[in-house]
Amino acid sequence: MRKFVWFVRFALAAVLCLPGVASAAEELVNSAKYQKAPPYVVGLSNVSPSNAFKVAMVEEFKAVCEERKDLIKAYYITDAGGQIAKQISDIEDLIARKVDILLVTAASPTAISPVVEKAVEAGILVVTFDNLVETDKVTIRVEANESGIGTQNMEWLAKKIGGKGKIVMLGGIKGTSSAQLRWDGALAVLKKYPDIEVVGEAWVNWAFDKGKAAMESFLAANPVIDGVWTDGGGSAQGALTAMIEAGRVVPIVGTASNGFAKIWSKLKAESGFEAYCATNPPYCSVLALNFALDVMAGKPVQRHIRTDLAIMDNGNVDVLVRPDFSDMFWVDTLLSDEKNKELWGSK
Amino acid sequence: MKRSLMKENFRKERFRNERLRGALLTPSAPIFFITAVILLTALAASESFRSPYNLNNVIIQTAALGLVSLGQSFAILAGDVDLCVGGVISIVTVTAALLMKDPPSSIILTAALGLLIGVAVGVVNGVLTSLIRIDAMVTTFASNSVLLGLALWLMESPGGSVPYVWMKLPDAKIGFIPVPLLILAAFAAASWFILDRTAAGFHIRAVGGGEQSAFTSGVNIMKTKIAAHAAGGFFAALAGLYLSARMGSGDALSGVPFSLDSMTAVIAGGTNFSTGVGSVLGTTAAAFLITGLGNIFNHMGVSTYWQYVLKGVLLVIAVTAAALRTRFAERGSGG
Repeated sequence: MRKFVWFVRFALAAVLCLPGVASAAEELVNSAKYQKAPPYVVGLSNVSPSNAFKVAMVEEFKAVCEERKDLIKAYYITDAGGQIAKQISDIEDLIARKVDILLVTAASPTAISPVVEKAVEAGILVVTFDNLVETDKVTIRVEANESGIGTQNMEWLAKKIGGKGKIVMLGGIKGTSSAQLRWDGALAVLKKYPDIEVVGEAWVNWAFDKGKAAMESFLAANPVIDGVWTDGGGSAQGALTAMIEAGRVVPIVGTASNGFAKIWSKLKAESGFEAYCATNPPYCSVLALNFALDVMAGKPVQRHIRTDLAIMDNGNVDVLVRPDFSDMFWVDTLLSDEKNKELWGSK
Repeated sequence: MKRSLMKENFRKERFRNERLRGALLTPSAPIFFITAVILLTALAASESFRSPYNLNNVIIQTAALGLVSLGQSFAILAGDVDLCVGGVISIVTVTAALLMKDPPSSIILTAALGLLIGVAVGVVNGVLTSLIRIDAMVTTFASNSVLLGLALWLMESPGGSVPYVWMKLPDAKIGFIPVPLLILAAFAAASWFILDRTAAGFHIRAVGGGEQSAFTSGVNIMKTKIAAHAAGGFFAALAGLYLSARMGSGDALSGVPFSLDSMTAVIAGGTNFSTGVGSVLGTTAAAFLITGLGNIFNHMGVSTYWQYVLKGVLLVIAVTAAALRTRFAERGSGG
């Protein structure tokens, strides 16, 4: 029954947002090396709980671990608070606790590599996902289409403003691989549109307050802005809020946080406002775990897996938005409605 | 005759009591006590914590913070604070990842260059603080920002690599003793010797206790401050080199948390701002407590959120106890 509920939820999310997986390379994991009878001990080394996406990512993981006690006898979650040295230590601790499966979303693509290699040498099945670790030794690499967020958002925006005009760009956290890939993806698209001029660039950490502040100064400095590119939910919400306050609302792109969706859906009803989101699912942790469990069960699994993006646009925003939930809720979810209410519902 | 003997005995007794009182009243006493209690509890409670593999982990994990905190001790004992240790660490990891290649000569030269950067930054901080009399809080905060910016400019996103032998250094052992422990112990001993047994150390403490009185007793304030900040930079660079080996690469953001963590270690270890009082051993114990707590909590399965809360509470207790001890000790010696 539980398995069935879980399946239904998965199917429902798939219908709503069309997430999925596609393999990027043909090489298979050597399942024979890891195959083992359940139950397993699973570790998740998280970089930081700092934003809504990451909180949802951990909650999705926890829910599945609780639900699948038949497969998972214990799970440990560590959190590095964004600190590289702490995450290296965390993974060492998880090795010492003898986990069978280790999921890693990394504070740094290179700095976590040596300790991840140590884990692989200790015989642990290591899956890197979300913020990837760049080492060939890792067992499975579940890659979100980060550059796709940048390109698809920029493609939509460029078409929306007719291929010409003035835009501003609000990036994520400078120096992180996901932010850089999204940014570079967006710039690659801009090469095709020589008539689009970027009049302002800022790195706003995917945060509401920083996105709003940056947008306020761009609005003050530029009499004309035709569109706004962002790669985050909080930053898009901040920028949109600033535009509403200034009375100059233009098309904007971002990712699928409820806070952004709430304002968007309201503006759409009032004035036909249009926006767009290409977003990766916060249950990437669950996808990563499932691939690892498949390997443990001896099933063939690709070593490199690329997950597809989900799209939120004017067509489905009203279905996905949850006016009764907080801004931090991520609209693409596998969690049960009760669990989501408990996490994000107004108290 | 009998009377003088009694007097002599009385004096001996008093001396002994004073020694005892001195040991109990040292501002570092609470941190030793807290660290010992927590370590023993964890050893008793968690099987995976007391595994040799993990005890080695605790040492490997503490060395970086331990080294930075030693440097921070010099700055704080001199009455200043060093907010740029994070920047130094970042730029040193980046430098190491960009320049360090396989030949031993390259390893040695790059390490030397890293240490030189640290000392140079410290000297600049010291000069700005003492000669131009800008508050150390401002000087070091500014230089931290400059260094982080430079590190990001040199290496926009994390990368580079260090030689394999260098990467294996933190895991190495001599006999059964982990190399990081040897490194930390050697530099802690050296710091203790300098701060507690040499004229330079007394000058640093004198300046920290009060610049005016130190000046009137003939201490060269400028030289002393420059030396203290240079030591801070040196140790931060050392930690940066160690971290580059741990990470096998460079990362411009890797140093950021260390500025605050090292201050916490020094203060929890019983060193007070602007008194020149404090011990290297207390600082080292506090560094072990801060990093060790993370390890222990991971092994006990304490949730992340509670980890932050409990860690904060324990550090407040340590800092408060150290502060109270100091005040008590001051009143004791005053009366």
